[in-house]
Amino acid sequence: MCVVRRLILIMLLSCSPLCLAQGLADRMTIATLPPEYQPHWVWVNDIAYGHVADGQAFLVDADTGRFLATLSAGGFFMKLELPSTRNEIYAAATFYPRVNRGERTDVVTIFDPQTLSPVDEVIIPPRRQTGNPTLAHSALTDEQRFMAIYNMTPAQSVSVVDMQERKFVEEIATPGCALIYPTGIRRFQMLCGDGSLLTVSLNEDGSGAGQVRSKPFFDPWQDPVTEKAVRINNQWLYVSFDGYVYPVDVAGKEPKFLPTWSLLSAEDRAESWRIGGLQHLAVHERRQLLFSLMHKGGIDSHKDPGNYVWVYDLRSKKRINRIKLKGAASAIQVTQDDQPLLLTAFIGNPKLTVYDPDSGERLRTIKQLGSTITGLQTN
Amino acid sequence: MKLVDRWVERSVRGVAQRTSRRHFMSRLGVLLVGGSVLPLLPVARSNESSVADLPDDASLEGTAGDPRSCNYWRHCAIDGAPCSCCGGSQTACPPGTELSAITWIGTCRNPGNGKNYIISYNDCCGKSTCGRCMCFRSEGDKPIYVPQKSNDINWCQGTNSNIYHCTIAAVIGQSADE
Repeated sequence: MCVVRRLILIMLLSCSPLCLAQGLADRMTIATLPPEYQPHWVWVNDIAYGHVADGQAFLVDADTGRFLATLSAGGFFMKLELPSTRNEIYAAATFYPRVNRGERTDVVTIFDPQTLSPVDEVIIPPRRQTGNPTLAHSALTDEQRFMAIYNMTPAQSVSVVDMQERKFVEEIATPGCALIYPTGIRRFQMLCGDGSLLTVSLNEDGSGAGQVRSKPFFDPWQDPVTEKAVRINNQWLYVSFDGYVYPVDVAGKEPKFLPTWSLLSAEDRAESWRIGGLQHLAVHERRQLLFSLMHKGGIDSHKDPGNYVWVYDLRSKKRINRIKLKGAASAIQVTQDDQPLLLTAFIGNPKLTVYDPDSGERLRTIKQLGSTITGLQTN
Repeated sequence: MKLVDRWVERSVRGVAQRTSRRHFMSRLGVLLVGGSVLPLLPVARSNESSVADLPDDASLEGTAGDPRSCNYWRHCAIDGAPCSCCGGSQTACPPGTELSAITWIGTCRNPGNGKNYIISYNDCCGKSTCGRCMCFRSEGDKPIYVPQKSNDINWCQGTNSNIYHCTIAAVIGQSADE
């Protein structure tokens, strides 16, 4: 080797990264989330419509606009389960070994809330219903031990998972009835095609203990309720395409149907105001408020985005506010603390917009959140 | 058809009583029953349309006759990507995808002759969403708990992969209320 080559080699070795790193270097780490989440931290759910095998949930601080972390949920991601009694997060998802092909496996994944990494999983029957997400595709029963996941093949059923033991319990046939609305300890209800409710009870081990079908409480052919009902205490509020609220008291073993009321006055109807959106309702429990995403449109516009949020006092059943949004929204949510925030997102524009629900003022916008935001959840 | 159904049912029940549950004849029975039931479902009629003369798209004015347009008359209840924009057509899935036999139906009025037709919105499956010409019209759409009229459901069911790619819009008959 000639002298020049030796000199070049010595120079290269002396300038190696190891050499440069001596004396001055950053310590590289992996961030973790704190044990307690803040009331204004929001989950932004993204089904990733263009590549549904890779659904995600983004955790965002709605106060500062800071992006906190990503949860990689998996295929046909619908929603998160956020138990208050266990330091865990759950999500049902569908997986294929070669992204879009191979043998289908459906699982409930258990995530660590501090890292949003999977720590365990429970395999469930590969039959969960997929499509446009709602917050009723799965749910925890009130004691938070059992997670129920709605299936359709097109036969309709529910998979029950014991989240305490982390094991699949059984699949319960629920012909004619869909989705999951928890109503008590080891109990949930489902919406049926004839406008009735099916109440499903579980035994202590999570196996099916019995089913009771109510009488129809609305006409699914004349004016169906949407699947996007909201719960406030022991009441589920189902809202119809034409803007009628059907409150259902679920404190007892069987549902009690309370008087219906209208979100719309005769004048509102004459002006063609309608409900609409993928997640068009939200409630604030302590203040007893109902928020409804509204737009002007024709019949069959029940999934159109809204440009107003109307606010109702659930005690008086009167509208108390109309908030004009700064852009279209297909999902709304409200934080549950004493200084709540109104949150909106539109599936066609991946950003979260934060409003003051009292003044209607837009506080901030958080951009670049995935691709197709389908839902918003608060902790 | 009912007589055939009853005969098949009686035969299958007899076989089932005489054989073990895992016997292959039991499985054959399932196939026989399935075969006798499936043709009764409206969704299985796509290959034997009752429409003698399908309406002529070319005679329609504007985009109502263009299968790549959201305004295409057959797209009145669609929610998704029309396969005509994805390498297929209003009746053909794109290459390499899988046609789902289980589906939902809508009723669309043909602006040319004013008649209503039953449209089967079969999904094509197995590849990531095409995403082109996305169209949301939802006329007559019902919530998920009325599955046969709901376009929010991923109808890639009974297929090897349930990954949604696009949706076709095939005429399967003329509306009975005409």
